Amino acid sequence: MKMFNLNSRLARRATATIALGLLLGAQTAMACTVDNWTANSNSLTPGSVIPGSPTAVSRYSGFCAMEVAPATTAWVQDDSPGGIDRIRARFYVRNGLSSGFSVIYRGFSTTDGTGTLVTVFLNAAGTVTLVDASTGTQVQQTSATEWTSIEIDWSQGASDGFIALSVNGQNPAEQTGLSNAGSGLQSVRLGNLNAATGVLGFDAYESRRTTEIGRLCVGDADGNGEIRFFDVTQIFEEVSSGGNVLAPGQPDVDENGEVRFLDVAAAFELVSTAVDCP
Amino acid sequence: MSNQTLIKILAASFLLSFATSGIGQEISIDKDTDLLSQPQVRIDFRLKGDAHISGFQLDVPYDPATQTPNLDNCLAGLPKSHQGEFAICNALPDKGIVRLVVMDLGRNRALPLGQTLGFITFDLGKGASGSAAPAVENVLLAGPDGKPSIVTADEVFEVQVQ
Repeated sequence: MKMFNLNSRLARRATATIALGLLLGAQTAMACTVDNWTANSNSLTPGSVIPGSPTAVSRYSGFCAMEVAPATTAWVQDDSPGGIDRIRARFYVRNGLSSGFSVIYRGFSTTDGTGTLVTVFLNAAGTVTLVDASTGTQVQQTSATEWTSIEIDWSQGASDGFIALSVNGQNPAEQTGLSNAGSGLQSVRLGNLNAATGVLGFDAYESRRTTEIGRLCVGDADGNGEIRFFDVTQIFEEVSSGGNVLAPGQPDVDENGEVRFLDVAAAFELVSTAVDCP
Repeated sequence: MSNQTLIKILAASFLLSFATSGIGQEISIDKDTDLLSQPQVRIDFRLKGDAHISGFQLDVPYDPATQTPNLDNCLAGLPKSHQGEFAICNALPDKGIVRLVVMDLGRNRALPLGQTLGFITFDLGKGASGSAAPAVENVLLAGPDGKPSIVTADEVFEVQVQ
């Protein structure tokens, strides 16, 4: 998982996965960086919500996230793809667009930001569009939450290429049988690639070659993979401490960009109705 | 013998059995009693030992097809400190469980020991048997800080099935 979290880079390219892991450290001493990406535009804001950290930004999971200022072109770049013909990627974006749309993710046949192969657009209304550049084929889904999970699957082929998009865990919107063979995918960029108006936040990027990634378990505030009443306590602790004690998992149950008492109640609702993690 | 007479006899037999069984005795479920009234199983929850347990979560599995939970007294024995928004007893027939969650958010005061915190009764319908008596699963206990207790459910959680 490529995160906006720590200085450490844990690159594991086992099998077909390009996962960069997260190493959790002491909350108070942690600085958030984007150093584990291949490159960045130097105009974005990695930051945690911990008081005293360089910058406080809203996060979806863990202790850090990345934020892009309004009307600013800012991105991080991953060159791990290295010429592949298929990529699955999942990330969370916090939609603070005030109007129009943003190019929030793009895959290239080069490492210099040219040769677009695939693009993800997000508009102010929460509509996400995945476009295969070579054929112009697109699929769309819409999110009603501020933090939105986006999972894409893009594949090249002579007549068997395809694209698939799942927003907030919906059944994927797909287009198959594409004739989009060509140069392989060398790199991807994530951010506000067209200086769109409004603040955008990003978190929890993960990419793989073939296997589905899926959503993080919302409400699993302690990050143990289950939703239990301890998660309610964990969120309450974050709220009651004013953010001094952060939940290491996904505490923003209503996905509105803030961890508040309503998230405590929402987490309790998940526990009391025995909702399981996906 | 008519069906009506049979029912009367069986009813008398069941009532006698119930009267002599007393509280705390296991109720024998006879298939014939299905004709008369709903036989019941009761599950009591209490804590034992001396650990500081501030809250718990547990599931009571049941078969919605043959068992109907009565939750009126599920949280009846809770102290005031643990009553309110964060104490719930929820029947979830789609999952086949009753889920109990009791918390004292922010204060994590100790639950009382040795007294019944609540009980659930299950009306057993046709097709139920004595072996269908519910159990308790997935017990989680919170300690004095609201986090997982160092003691295990077996050490402190007591469930009595009647």
